Amino acid sequence: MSALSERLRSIDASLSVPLPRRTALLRELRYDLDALTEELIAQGVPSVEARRRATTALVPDAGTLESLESVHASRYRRATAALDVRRLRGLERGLLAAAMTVASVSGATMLASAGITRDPSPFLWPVIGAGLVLYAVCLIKAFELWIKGDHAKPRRGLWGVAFLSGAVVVLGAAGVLTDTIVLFGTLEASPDLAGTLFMAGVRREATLMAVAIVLALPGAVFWLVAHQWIALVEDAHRRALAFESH
Amino acid sequence: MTDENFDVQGFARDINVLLVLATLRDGSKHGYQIALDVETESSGLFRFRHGTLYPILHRLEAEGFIDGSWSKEGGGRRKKVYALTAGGRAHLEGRRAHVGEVVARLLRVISGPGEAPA
Repeated sequence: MSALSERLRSIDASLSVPLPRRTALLRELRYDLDALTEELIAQGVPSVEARRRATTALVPDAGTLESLESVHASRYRRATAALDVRRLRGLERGLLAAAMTVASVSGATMLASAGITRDPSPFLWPVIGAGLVLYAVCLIKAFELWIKGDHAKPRRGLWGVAFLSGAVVVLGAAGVLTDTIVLFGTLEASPDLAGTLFMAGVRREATLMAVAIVLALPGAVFWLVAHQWIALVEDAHRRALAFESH
Repeated sequence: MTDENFDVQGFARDINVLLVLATLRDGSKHGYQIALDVETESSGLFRFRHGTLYPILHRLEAEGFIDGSWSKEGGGRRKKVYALTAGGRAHLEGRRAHVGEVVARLLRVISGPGEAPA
């Protein structure tokens, strides 16, 4: 790897600018460096000296990197720049808690009005709990990626979303299986109530599985969208850093 | 110009902005070409170092004074080209009078009373 490539990679690592913009910035810098070097060589400057002069003129120093960060910071970062970091973190946590409370209350109201919480499977509550954790993780990740523009480690926590989406469905399926075994035991003990118990059991388990799938689906869709988005921007970034030049 | 609001450091930053805008008056250019033209047209007096050109370009782009667009060159290399917008042209014209006034006052101070500025 050339000294220039190393320098650009170190700029990439130290520049806290959201990814698509950081990619564009490095691509622009790379082109200008190459073009200026070529121009200086055409003017008769030896190639090593030409590269040195181009680097001095164009490669940002620490002060310039700071200016670039302030120009390219996300709107959220600009709006909250004056706030103390600890206070801001507290505010973000408060907002997350408020959003989750609103989601929980409206979700509980919806479930109650649909009659889902009447005679539920004991597994319904863990499924709903896991679903709420899944939504909280999705919210945090979406906030990091698209509002805060924090792309230092964009994939961090993303597999947690996939895992939690799967866990919600698995928990629902495990509940159905366990409830069914319990139901058959009850049916054996009270064959005269078989018709009533069987219909109530089918309704309960269908509801449990439906709730698990409905809760897991948005998480899975979020994972897919975020995963694809990160893959796209990272691929563009890698190509920009691979320096598709001579 | 509001005298009590005059900020010397801000004026120095303003000069860089005006140099970039003035260079783009003749047509669109990419980053290094802007830097070279500023240096050539000022006979080496104004020179961008350590990438200081980029924050200026990107801020001007965000403010709508210049318009940046990507184009492909032979060999697949992509370059970003900047063009002056109508807003940028108006800003340049507006600030030119301001710079003229600042320079005139500076010369008046330097030259001393009764002496005509060179």
